[in-house]
Amino acid sequence: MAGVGFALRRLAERGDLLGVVQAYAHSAAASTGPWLYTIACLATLTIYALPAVGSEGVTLFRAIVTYNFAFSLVFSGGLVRVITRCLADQIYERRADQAPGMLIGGLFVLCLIQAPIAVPFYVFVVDLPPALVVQGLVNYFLVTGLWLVGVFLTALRVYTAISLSFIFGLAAAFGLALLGGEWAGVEGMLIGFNAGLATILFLLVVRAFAEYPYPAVRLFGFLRTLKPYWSLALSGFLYNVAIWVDKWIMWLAPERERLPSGFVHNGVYDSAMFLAYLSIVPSMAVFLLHLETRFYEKYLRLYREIENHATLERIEEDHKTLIEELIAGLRNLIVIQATVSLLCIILAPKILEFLGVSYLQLGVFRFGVLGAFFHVLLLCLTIVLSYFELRAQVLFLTFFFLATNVVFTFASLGHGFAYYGYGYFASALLSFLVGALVTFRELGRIPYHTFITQPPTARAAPEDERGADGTRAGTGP
Amino acid sequence: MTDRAAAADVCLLLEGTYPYVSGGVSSWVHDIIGGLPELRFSIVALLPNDASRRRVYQVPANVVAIEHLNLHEMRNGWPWLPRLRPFFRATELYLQNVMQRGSLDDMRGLVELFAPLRRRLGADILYNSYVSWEMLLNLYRRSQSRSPFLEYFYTWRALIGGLYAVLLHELPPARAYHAVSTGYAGALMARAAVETGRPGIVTEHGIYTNERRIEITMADWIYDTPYASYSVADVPRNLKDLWKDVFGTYSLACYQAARQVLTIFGGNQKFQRNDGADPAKMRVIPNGVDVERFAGIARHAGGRRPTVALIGRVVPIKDVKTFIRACGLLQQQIIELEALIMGPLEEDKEYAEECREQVRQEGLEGTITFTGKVNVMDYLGRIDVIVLTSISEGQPLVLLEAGAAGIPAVATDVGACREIIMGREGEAQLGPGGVVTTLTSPKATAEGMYKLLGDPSFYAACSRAIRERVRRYYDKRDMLAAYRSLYEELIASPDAERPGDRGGRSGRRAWRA
Repeated sequence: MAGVGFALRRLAERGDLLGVVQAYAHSAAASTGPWLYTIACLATLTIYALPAVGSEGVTLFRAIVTYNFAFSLVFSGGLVRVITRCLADQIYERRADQAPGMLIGGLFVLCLIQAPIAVPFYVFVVDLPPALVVQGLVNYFLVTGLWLVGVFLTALRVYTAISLSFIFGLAAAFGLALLGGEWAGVEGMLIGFNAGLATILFLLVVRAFAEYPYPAVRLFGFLRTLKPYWSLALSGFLYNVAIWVDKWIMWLAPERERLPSGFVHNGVYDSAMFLAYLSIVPSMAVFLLHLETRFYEKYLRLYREIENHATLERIEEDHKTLIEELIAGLRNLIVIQATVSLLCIILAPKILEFLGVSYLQLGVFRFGVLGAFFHVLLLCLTIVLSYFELRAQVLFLTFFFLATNVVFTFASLGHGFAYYGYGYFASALLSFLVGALVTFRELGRIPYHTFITQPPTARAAPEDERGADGTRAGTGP
Repeated sequence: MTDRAAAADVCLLLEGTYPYVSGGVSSWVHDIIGGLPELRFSIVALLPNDASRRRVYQVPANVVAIEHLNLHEMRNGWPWLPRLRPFFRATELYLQNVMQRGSLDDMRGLVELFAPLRRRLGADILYNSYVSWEMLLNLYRRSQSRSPFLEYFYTWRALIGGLYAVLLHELPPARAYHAVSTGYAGALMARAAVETGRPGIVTEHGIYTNERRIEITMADWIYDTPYASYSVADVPRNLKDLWKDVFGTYSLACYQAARQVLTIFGGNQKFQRNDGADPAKMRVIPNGVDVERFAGIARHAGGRRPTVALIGRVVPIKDVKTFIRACGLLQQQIIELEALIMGPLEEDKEYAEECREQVRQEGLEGTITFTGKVNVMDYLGRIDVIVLTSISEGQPLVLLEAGAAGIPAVATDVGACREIIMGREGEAQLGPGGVVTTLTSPKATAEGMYKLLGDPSFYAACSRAIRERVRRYYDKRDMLAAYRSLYEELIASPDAERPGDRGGRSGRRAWRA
């Protein structure tokens, strides 16, 4: 008898569990590298350029570059995260042929977003000679471009290429900026620095087009994914606001400086903080390596076992192993970071003296190092959450970090100089504690998340549906 | 799409059939609705999902509402409700039974749990909450812990998801509920009966659990855990058992809730009894044909070749090849034989081509004609014997239509064929209306045809017998009358006691005239 019911198989349709997430989580993590290289370059540059352009010149140069970094990051962070994810999706689905189009389209859209912010700022808000306005804007768009292009190469895990491009380009930037400074003051310094950044951008773009040898099509296809990935865009934006917001607030402190050109900054706070950030480099590198090798192996095993008809008992064993691996990784991270942080705090006077930084910054630097300690832990937790597609939790933690950073930094502002940096430290500490609670709660529920919250369900198209019924239809003439 | 109109007299619960899929069951439903214009019907069409569908029947005006129940889709509902833990603990107990041959009691328990929360429950709570996940793990650990978990998960979603959909659907008010199969339609009827206190019945054309069992046993997409041991006692329950058991539960709950368990021919009743139907409730109401219309067909006499015909789709289950071979054998006795194969050739093109090839190989091009899909009425007048070689049948209408026109049959002993040709127990002794043969036997079929065509007096007796039998027992008007009086009885019957009368928190008040 035909005509009653429908093929059971239709009822049992199912999705694909092991998704794309790791590729994305990885790129998000690796993008911290370029940011750190650049801070290192900037920090050293400001010291060595002092004789050539004088302290006023250095301050202006640093203000321009700092502003450019801060605001280009904040206003591109959201979109860059979405593009990162799109690219990871495409690589996972083996249709990366759209990558060149997305790179060009992405650059275009980013410039479109940034231009209405950067151009009026340089033209109307600050008072700079035209040549510096031009160089400042060039710098702004170069930096924006770097944030995006880096993503296309980290997604393919060609780290050596990225690192070499950055090291080579920043070395060039360093040298050219010094030369330029000798030759034409701040203006020349910025031209030299821009030339170095342009070199990096050029090397990365060339490499990207070599890695993705396809014609540029569907330039703006990624814009349609803004809707499903809105939380990525939002947490990307909020995260970048969060890491800058304490600096902005400190620009209101009594010690802030207003340059004749109109830039406001807090040299004492800003440069101490940038230096403090550098302390996370070793532990971050070790943790990422751990994630990518030992953790990833266990992660894949868990999903493969699930796909391979494992019983629940087996899945739970693998789940346990995965968590143990993660805890081992975090333990290493904490040990390394604690050692580095402790050394930095003890040796702070020597470090500052060596770099020729004012002793005034000692307190800020020490709080900054402590804050960075918890900041890197928090960052690693959000990367782990990203591996399991827990976007809501990432968004929550990012927002929490931002909110506490605002509140505590404001609070520290009122307590005077001795407490500068305390706000960032307290915020990072509290965010890490909350982050650890959230992360370990969710990690205990990985099978639940795997089956319930993250599967990309593959529903059959309605056409298949009708076909399936049609073949069962009809008895007799 | 939902048109909710005035309350209906009878609500038909149809799984994957009318008015979207053509076939024997749908035609039957269409006949009942059209034949009882004084009753108002509503329809709940149970479908796998919300894909748009084209109606293939002109739905009569006495259908006041057609609702869709999508088994595979669920709205999100509220994200959270208080006291979810006790809710899921109770649900778990009932589901555990449902998954291991449960009964109407479990269905009733679930209805009482779900009814007060119906508007709020949805995928967020039932599928996506952590509490629901813990329940799923408990169910797995308790009965299925050696099955692959991924497969278990999707099986669970499919089976219990359908049950959730059945429990959550807003039931259209009606005086009686009529499921036209067990399965999810039957489960919905059981729910309707316990929830509204209105009577329900079920009519089975084929036996749902039986067909599902065959489908499940043959399914290569249900993962079977390979076991090293050969001892039957060692083999744990696997996922196929789970599928079969859940459908077994739905079927039993449906039989227990039904006022009457109907089918179209006696052969099915053995299966219904095995699945737990109470023999006291079981009844056969055969499918019927428009006797007058077929009896009025004028016979073409004289001046033509003796003609046999197989009316049906050219597909393997009809075993057309046996018919072709039988015609080859018969043609050696009756040289001028004409044989018709009447039915669409498109459904299984490969098989149809094999059949044509076989006709060529046996040199029967002058004997056998493939007519394709034609109007049977135009041909019946010049057919002498109707032949069925099917390896499976329900109650083939074509035997009844030909029988009404006085055409005897040669048919295999499947489905209701023997009942139609030889008569049922308790019927008047009218004699054979043709010949019943064994399956896949060209020789037996050929002999049967020869017996009729070569013996005019036997032929005449069979012709009279089958015409009389169809007139007496397979008149569509009798079928309609049987359902009319059954429906009238159900509609008039008082409300049964139902959970709402005791607890006072019923989801829906019964419809009152």
